[in-house]
Amino acid sequence: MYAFTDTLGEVFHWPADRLPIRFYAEPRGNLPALLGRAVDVWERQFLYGEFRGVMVPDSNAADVIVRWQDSVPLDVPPDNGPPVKACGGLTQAFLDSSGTSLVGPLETQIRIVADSIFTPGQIQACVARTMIHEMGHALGLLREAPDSLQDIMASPPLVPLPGIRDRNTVQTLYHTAATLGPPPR
Amino acid sequence: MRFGGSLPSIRDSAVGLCLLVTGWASSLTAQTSIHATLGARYSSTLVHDSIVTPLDVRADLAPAFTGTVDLPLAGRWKLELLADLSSSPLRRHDKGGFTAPITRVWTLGVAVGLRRRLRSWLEGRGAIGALKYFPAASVGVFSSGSGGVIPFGSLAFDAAPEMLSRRRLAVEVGGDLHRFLTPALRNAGFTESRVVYRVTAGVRLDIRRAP
Repeated sequence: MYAFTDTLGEVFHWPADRLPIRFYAEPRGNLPALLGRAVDVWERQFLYGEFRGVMVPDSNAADVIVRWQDSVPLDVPPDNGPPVKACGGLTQAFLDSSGTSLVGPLETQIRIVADSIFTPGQIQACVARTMIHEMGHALGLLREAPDSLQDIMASPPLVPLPGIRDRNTVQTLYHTAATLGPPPR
Repeated sequence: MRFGGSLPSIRDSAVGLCLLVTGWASSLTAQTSIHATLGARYSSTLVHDSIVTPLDVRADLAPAFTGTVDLPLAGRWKLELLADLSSSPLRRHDKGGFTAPITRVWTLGVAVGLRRRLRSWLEGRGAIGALKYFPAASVGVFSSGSGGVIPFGSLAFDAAPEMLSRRRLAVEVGGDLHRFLTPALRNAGFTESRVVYRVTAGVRLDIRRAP
């Protein structure tokens, strides 16, 4: 297991009474499919109903919004070769004035590395990994994991799926009392 | 030349066999009893784990429906074939009393057993069979499937005092045992299946009662 708090020691996860968490992906390229798969991958890390997510068609009704930062990659089969950092991601949340709850939906952007020398397949493999990584942050894994050979939450993510440490960490997170509340609905 | 000379005897034998089988089946049908039981079922803990604090996974109290067919054997014994269906939400129970739903789960069991009249108003039955869990969604402990067919054993008693018997009813109390482990639990490091018992109480209706 690795640390899941932020640098100030704050703990965030979606509370049980907010499930299922609503995810929105802008309908460009294969972003909805990538997000749907990432949500499914994270759901499968839990054994006891701690987390469920659904895709919603309206960003106004979403708890997590995902967009491409700029260009949209070609929708091709992902490359199965060695991982390359052909993309990046950023997930942001903001605190309310009291500093105890999030305000507004979490927002994620997936970015394709400019002047990319990578193939479309390498880019697709990268955005698939990065989407799972960013959704890990959206679930409450607020830090980067230390081991890029094992952990999808390492930066950059080089493994295709969450490993055993990712699973143990997110399960433990969802059984730990949160210090930050979710944004109001 | 005796080409076809044996045909009449084969045909006669076949007709005779058909009549015999039909007669036996007809006699068997006449002695067959059919019952349906509707009851409530308690299931013990399916999974016990500890993540920060201890937790259990259990199915809620479930409605259970059992259909049985009894075929006559020697003396007071009957051969019993049964099918059993129940359904309820599966829930996580945390130590502090908090509960969270995981998914709805159906269980379907089929079994073969022996039934015996113990008193004029009391019958007992033991059966062995196969049980399968059908989750409504591939999530949680069922995220990698339900783990296939599980053997189970059951025991039940039916009490039909005169007042109920006249109405073709009986009170049934039963229990069964099986072991539970799913692929997702195995992937998470569980190595031993857990013994699960279920207790059911209900009312049995004799749809067809052998004379």
